[in-house]
Amino acid sequence: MGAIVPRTGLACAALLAASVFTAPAHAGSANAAVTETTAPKTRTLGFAVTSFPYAIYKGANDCPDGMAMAAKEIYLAASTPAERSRLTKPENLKEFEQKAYHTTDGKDLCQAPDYPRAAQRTTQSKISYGMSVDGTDDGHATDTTCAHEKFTGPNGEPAIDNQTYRVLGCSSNFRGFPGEEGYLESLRNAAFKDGGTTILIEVMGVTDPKNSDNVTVGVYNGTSPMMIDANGHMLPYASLTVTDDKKFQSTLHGKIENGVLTTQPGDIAIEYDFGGYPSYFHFKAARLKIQLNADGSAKGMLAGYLAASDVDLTSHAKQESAEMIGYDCPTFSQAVRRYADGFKDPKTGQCTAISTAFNIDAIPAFVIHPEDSKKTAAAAPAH
Amino acid sequence: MNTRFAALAALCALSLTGCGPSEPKTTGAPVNAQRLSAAQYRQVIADVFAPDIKLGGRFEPGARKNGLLAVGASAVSMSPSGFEQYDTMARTIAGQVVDAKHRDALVPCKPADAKKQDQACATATITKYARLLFRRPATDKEIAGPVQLAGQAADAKDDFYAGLSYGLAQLLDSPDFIFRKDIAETDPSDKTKLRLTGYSKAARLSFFLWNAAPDDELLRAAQAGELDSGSGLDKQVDRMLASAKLENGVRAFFTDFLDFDQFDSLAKDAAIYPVFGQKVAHDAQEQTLRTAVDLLVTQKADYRDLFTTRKTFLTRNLGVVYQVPVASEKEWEAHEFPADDPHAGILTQLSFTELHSHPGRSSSTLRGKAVREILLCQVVPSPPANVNFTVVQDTSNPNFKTARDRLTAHRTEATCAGCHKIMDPIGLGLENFDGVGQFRTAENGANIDASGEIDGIKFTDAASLGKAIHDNPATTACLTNSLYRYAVGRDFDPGEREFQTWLGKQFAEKNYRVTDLMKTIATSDAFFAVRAPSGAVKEAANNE
Repeated sequence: MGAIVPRTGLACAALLAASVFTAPAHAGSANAAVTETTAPKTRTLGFAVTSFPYAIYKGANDCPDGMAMAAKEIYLAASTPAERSRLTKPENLKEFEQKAYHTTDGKDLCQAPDYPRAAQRTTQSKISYGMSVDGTDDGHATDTTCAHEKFTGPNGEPAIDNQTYRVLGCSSNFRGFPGEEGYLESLRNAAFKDGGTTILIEVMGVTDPKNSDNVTVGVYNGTSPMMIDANGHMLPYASLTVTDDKKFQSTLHGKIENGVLTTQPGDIAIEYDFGGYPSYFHFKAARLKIQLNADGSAKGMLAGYLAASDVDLTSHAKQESAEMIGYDCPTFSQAVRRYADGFKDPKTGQCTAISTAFNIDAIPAFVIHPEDSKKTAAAAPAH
Repeated sequence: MNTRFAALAALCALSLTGCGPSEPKTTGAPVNAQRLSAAQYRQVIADVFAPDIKLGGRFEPGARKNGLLAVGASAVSMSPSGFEQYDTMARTIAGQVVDAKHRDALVPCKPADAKKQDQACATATITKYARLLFRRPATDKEIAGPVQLAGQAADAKDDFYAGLSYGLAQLLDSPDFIFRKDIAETDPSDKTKLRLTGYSKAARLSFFLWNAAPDDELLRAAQAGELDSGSGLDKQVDRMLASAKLENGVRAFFTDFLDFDQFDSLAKDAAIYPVFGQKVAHDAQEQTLRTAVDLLVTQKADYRDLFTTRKTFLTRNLGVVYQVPVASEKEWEAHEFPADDPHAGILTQLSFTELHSHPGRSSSTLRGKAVREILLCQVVPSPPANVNFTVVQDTSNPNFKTARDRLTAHRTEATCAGCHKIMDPIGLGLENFDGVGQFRTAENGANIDASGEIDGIKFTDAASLGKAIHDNPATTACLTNSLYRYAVGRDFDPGEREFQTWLGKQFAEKNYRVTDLMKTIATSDAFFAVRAPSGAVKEAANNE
């Protein structure tokens, strides 16, 4: 079991002003560093994620045809002017919703993912946040990927893969209105502050917070809610416990160069609270690129592939509720499948995952492993 | 070794008070009455009835006198609105004692008919609880009143238990419960003098050592006259010092000594110190109390080490402020700051640094004043009424970036310099801790110089300031004097000057172990000594 390394005061502060150093419970190299003076000393940096939205680039003319339509809008567009006029009268609302939310044979649209629909309006931007994750320069199909159009990064980075952005980029739920975060994004991010979601990042084996050749990176769900200050902001330097569910303890390998952490691809599973319901992201070939700031905070990106079923949550919904947040279930579901570009099923040729990128903001935290958190203060006086 | 010298050393080792001068005679002090503190009231109710009994009211604030609420408790009375609160609590408590959940365990008998009064059962119940609440057997007259009231109320409500609750509430409303009244009697060895009754001695002992009412064994010893003999008293004091309840007593003393009642009104500007909240404030007090109990009771260490120890206890709420990991999710956790960490001793704990600061900034003056007044028992004069604080309060003045800069400018005013020079140099040693107690190395971009001096001893930072307090003779003298004044609930009497000096020497001889000092006080003649003010003999006679 790893010991907690106490704060070392000014020496630490000078090295990386406010980063948090903890010794992991399970990383032998870091443990050895704590106890062996002859080996190079290593430290562990801890972070708690405060924001984890889809990386949505917001260019001026990304959605020239307008935003993606929900079921009512689609139904009215297909109706005659007279029918549109009749259905939109308040007294006909019930009939309108019954028709708009259901297939012609009465099935809820969310239970009919293949119901014939026109293609969803997608972003026409040539620019996107993200990383190149398919190994190609042009997005051509490979044994494991499907053909897709690449983006260029905002700073000219080539060959960006982010098909999720293509699907979500013209959805008001994700893009949001000008100056605002998308509703679903704000809902998901609010869960960090509300105690519904805790995501912890632990960088182990750090010899120098600016440059370390070989670090191990843990990405975990936490069981402790984030600690909140008097103004409702999440507090840095909280001690937060990692879940004991191994499914949500992921490990990557990487390095730090000039204060930027990058990792090799690996799988990451995250549970998050979505409006009170547990939901999941299963990232494949995910990699991190995170700037480790001098004040102990971190800012960067997670990119990779996301299981299509994690993006397309329509099968869990009803169109009535999807409508309130601007979805048409079959249109969205078909768009996700159409633009899925990774982890091709060799039998069907259908890609099962979609390239994606998430922004990460994090504050310094002490990452406590579950076996340590169960310690009690045996030496403490009883009270 | 010289045989005679060896024998003398052996005798010294066996002696309670060492081989120094024996305890000086004192004149005693007039008998006293102290209002129970809120903590004492709560503890008594939990001990006498049950820990889950809720009080349902609030207490009138105490009065701090010469640094101690325990001394002020001898000077406070009760306002009409305060009595209403006590009466509300009495009714709430009594109602719970007789309710369906508690009556089988707490009412010692069953009425013949639960819908009618039952004088025998009411008398048994009132007699039992009067002894525990009054901390002595009640007189027949003191029993008769509540029993009669219980009967009348039972008849009116057709409910024995409802009636009994009125009788119990009357006990709880009694000044004999709410006030700890010293009762004196003629000293049989010298008819010209008074002494405390055994029950008054028992109460004085138990509130001093346990911050609670006497238990059955102590009341038995009082009744048997054992507290009037040295061996009987020693036996009971040893038993009480070995009890887990001693922790309550030590906690209560340090809560009072360190002015922790000020936490009740402590506020910080959330825009400046968002990390501060009620949980942090609560845990900050608890941290220091746990540190003190562990060091002084569990480890039986030198009191002075309280100002240098790096061992403490933390919760996650505190870990955020100290910026250290706390593994345990819900429990308190032992923590030792490393040797190069700026945190050492209770001066660097949040309970000191955040309590003695302004809502939006640190205060070297308040901290220095607190060290002088609380920890060294020295008096700092109040500031004149017309002081101009503008320079000190303006933390954004680019010409005076640090507290040292501002206070230096402020001290140029002659009327301020005299007092500030005895406070500020101490408080500046703690400037590395901001107004909420978080460590910092700079203020407004300027490096903080935390060096200073106290009573001729120079220090460079908070840790060496703690060492200077550790080594200051006034530190132990202050603790000795405060603990005795706390124990007897009054200031030293002029007739106790020699005893005061002797007590300090005893503390030094016992290597400044606080529990040993508590024993010295509890077994001293001075602790129980009373003299007769007019009327006391008459009162004693009335109660015999």
